[in-house]
Amino acid sequence: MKKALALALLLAAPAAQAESPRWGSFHFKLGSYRPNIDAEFEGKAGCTGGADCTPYADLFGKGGSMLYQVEFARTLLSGAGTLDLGFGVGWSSKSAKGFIEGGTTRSSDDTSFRVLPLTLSLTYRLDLYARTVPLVPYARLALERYQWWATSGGGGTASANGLSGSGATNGWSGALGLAFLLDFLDPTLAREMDRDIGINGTYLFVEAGKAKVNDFGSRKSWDLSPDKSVTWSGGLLFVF
Amino acid sequence: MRTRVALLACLLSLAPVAALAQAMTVSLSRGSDSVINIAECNDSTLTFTVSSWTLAAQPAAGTFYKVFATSATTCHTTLALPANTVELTGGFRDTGGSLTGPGLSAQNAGSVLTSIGTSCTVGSTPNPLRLCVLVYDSTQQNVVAGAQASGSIALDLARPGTPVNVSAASGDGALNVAWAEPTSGTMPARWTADATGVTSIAGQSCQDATGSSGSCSVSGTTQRSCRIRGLANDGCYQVVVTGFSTTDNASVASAVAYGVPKAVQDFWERYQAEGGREAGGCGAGGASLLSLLALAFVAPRLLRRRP
Repeated sequence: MKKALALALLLAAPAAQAESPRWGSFHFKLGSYRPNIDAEFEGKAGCTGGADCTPYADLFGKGGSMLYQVEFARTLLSGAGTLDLGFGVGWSSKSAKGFIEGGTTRSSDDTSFRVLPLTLSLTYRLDLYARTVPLVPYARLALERYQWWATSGGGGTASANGLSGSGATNGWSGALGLAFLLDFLDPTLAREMDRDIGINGTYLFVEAGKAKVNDFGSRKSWDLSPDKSVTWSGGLLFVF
Repeated sequence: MRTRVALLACLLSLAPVAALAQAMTVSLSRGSDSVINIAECNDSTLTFTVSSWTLAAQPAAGTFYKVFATSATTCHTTLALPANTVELTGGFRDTGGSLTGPGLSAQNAGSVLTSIGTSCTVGSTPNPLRLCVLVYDSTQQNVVAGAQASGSIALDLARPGTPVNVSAASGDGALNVAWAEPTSGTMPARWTADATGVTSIAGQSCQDATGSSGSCSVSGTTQRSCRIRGLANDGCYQVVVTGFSTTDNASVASAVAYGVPKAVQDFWERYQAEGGREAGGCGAGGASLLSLLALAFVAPRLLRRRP
């Protein structure tokens, strides 16, 4: 009887240690965003008040706004690292008081510029050795589609010269990042999370990104790329 | 044991009496509540109706009833009519031995209130208008104890506090009105800001907007601003804010504020005015994006086919 019990425990032990099957991943990310809209006016002067033409900076200043993003991804390949195909959505909004027509005095009406980035991404994570060295480098390439709209004082979509202040701008982005496997800090809790809810790994990550969102260089589109050549962001990644 | 049985029998005999609860259904001809507010109290056409009642005890056959209105806090139980009480039935009526009553035709609230000595003085706190059904024995000389019904209509004649520090900031074809809560009196439950066009405003350059007006309303105790839309840019307007209680009593209107709507340049207008090239709509690089999307769709399938 005792031998049978011991054998059963021995057989059960590897099963308890084994990871649950991987399906994909989910992450949420925080970063700063300021569109490079004023870039198209570089060198152009004589705008409102005879100053340089910087409509975005005029209204919203030089600071950025928070960009919140979430992404679900399906694992395509695993073994020699992990290759994920993901779809993400984000949100960023900047508001300010509009100008009274023909002057530089602010009115009491708000105006805002809102961006909803949609992302289709391929991410490769070099996580072969994550259980021994909990740092995982990764690279991501993505197609971006930024849905955007500007609002006027009444809260509705702005319009000017018969043009509605809403649309979409396409582009691409790339990122290099480093993720720290938090499971390393508490392996027992990590195993419980895997056993109870199927999360294989939880990572804290930071990444440097570059994006070009200007309809692939179209001369009819504005530039919604971040105004910095490299942007930094970070977040949490769950592999499940 | 014998005592317990007697007690149980006593309780059982009381049970039917305890189960009878007197009730009366009273409704007003105006408003969705059962409270007479300041406007309703001064409305000479306001009526109230007693649609039914249930007596507190079953009356015997051959008994009679009368319906009274009173400003007293309780119904009387005496044959004599107390002060500030009037009869509404115009004589005895047969109960028919019925526990429930047939109701009463519509009564003019103003004349009844006057009869019972209740005035519509704003700020006063009168007793509710109480309606009482009394049952009399077959001799019509004695009130049957315990066989009554009563109902009431509350009167709320208190104004809420007056909003203060009203401002009307320029918006595009609009005024953004803000105010502060009253410094005295009760807190209003909702607020209304009214803008009225005037010929001029001292110290401000604006155009005669006589005949133009607008308003906005907000409910709740937290929001202290609203936007009056549909006004003429560069027009002269005066604005007052009024608070309303839960029973729709209006406060004294606030002090007048003045405002001039102005055309506002929002971000999109400024971008266009400065010659921006973006025209809105779907991205010009849509075809490129679609081809890349197709590649992203095909790539995983190609990868899966590999052994």
